[in-house]
Amino acid sequence: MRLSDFFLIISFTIYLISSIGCNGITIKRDPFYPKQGDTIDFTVEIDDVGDMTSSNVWLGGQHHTIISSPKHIPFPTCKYTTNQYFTSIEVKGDVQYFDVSNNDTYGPETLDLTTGWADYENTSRTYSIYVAHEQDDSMEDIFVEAASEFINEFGSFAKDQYQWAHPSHFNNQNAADMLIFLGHGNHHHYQWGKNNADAIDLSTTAFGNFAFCNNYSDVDYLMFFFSCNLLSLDDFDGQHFSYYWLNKSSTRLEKRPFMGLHQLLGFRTLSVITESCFGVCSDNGDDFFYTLAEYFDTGSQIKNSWLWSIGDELDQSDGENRGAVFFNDLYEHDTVFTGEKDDYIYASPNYYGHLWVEYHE
Amino acid sequence: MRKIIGLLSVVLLLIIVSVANAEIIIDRQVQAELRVILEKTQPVYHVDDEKGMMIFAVIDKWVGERMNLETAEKHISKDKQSIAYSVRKITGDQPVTKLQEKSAFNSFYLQSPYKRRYIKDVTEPVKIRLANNVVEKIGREFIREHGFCQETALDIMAKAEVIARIRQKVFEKETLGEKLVMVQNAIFNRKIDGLQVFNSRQIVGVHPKSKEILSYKTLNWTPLKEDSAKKMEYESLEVILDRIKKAYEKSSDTFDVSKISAGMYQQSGLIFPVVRIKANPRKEEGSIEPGRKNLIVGLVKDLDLELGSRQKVMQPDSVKESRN
Repeated sequence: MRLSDFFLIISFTIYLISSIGCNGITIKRDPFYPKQGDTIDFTVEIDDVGDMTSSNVWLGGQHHTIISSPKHIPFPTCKYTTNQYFTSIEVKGDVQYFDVSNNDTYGPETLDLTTGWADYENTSRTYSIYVAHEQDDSMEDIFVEAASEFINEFGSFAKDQYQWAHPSHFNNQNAADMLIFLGHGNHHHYQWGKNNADAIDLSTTAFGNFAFCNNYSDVDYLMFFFSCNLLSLDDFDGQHFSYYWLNKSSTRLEKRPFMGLHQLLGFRTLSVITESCFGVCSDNGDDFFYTLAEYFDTGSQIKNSWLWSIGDELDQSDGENRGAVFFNDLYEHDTVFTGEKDDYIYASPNYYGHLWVEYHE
Repeated sequence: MRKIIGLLSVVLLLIIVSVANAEIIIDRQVQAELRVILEKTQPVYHVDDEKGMMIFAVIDKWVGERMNLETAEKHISKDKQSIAYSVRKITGDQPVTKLQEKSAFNSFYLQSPYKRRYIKDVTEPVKIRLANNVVEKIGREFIREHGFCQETALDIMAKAEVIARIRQKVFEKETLGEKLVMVQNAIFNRKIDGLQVFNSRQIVGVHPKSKEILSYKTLNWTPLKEDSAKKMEYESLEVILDRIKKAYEKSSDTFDVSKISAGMYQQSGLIFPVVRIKANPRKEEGSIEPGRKNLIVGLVKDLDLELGSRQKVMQPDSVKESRN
């Protein structure tokens, strides 16, 4: 190759690279994989703004005229503040130059907002365990002993919190992957304190990566021990039981526990501890949590561990202690060693169509 | 001085009465039932640990034919009381990663004191559901054929309760899909001289389509030394009533005893007579659901038992911010 040919090729390559970089429109976003609830920070970058005659950007159908670069456009997708249920956003743009040969377009690109990954979705696997204050101090002692048994025995996750149950555990972000609540319950209600008013209506709570806008919750597994009928499959107040746990079209702007939650574990009937009193008293709540920890630590499925521990250790006579698990089958085989996974909300093809209930009958 | 002490006693009594507003109502009929139970003194037995270990060896051998216990992954519990063997499921031709290694297993065996649990983890829901008596028959024959239970005229496998594990799909239109059966468990209770041993159980999990045994568990079911039977002095009715009342005295609710059953309990190398009490709370409309507990009360005086919870009991913290 002659030297002049070599320089010609180099010059042409440089021209090509510079022509790609110098004229056009780019729309960047943060986060790169947004999910519903995020305020997406779009940044529109126009090359050679001085040579531009006009530029337009459409974000989720909203038109923006661009006259300077870079242009930051925040796009809120929080359903609670926007009163809109964003499932996806189409992003597209164009730019026109005096030299029409440099005109450029961006997109259209469709961003799925129903699949989510939160900042807390990290590799640190943690659990929190909460004990309800009881009207009956002896029941409180039983719960504290049972919770201690689990903490002493379970070794696969690090313990995040061990606290007396409080409404803030339902209303604030929670970084733990697994939450265990001990206390009385009723159909979709958990009794966290001693008074009648101290009941959480769980249909007003949310768990999973989508639970809080611009904040993050990492809860994958939510468990309620000793909470009678909490996961009852019966209708309640004229509504199907699933109304209280899942979003659907008519309730999509409201909170529901399954906003990224993988599995909900509890009892669909009365849940009754058996206390053995031979001099002093002990109970099979301890045995349940010891066994649950054993199943978890040896890599059994979360769902199976729960239902097996109930069947092994609790008295199921007289129709009592019938366990139930509400789950998305994409997480059916989850164990405590399963890695992080995407979460899904209503309108995702991975929401309805994948939801099941499994229970003792 | 006597007057002061007397006055203090009255004040103390008043305080106790005003604080202890809980009550368990044990009506005359229940008291009469309890009196009958106490009049018929049942013996205390020693368990035969040697025979128990022989049965466990038979179970170990049967499990060993289904999973290789030598090569299975072993996990020892933190309290060193249990050892679990698991054989993992390797799916497809994907490379084995650390996470995958720890994913669902297909065979699992847990050995812990007085307990053995074998599980073949199969997820194969079917529309078929066997009649309960068929499941019971399969389970009973399985246990007997393999010699997993030593039955005598005195110590028998009683009728099983069959509990199925059902799954149903949940649809947006607020309906459930058809019932699919994962497994049907025959839960065998143990009876000694006609009395149920409340914490002894053998569970056989049967797949309703293939009728394959998916799980076998024996829990606190150690053969007894029949010649060790020893009648020991029972507590008085008053003491038993007092124990029942004490178990509920910290509650602010009123309970009615709904069911009382004489039975036995296996613990600390002994099988001894007990009574099980089920009680229902008196729930006022609009009030919260009070906690329920079944109570098992020992009937024999001065039994030498291991008591208390296994490990350290810790109190929860008060609320503070979450961290990670």
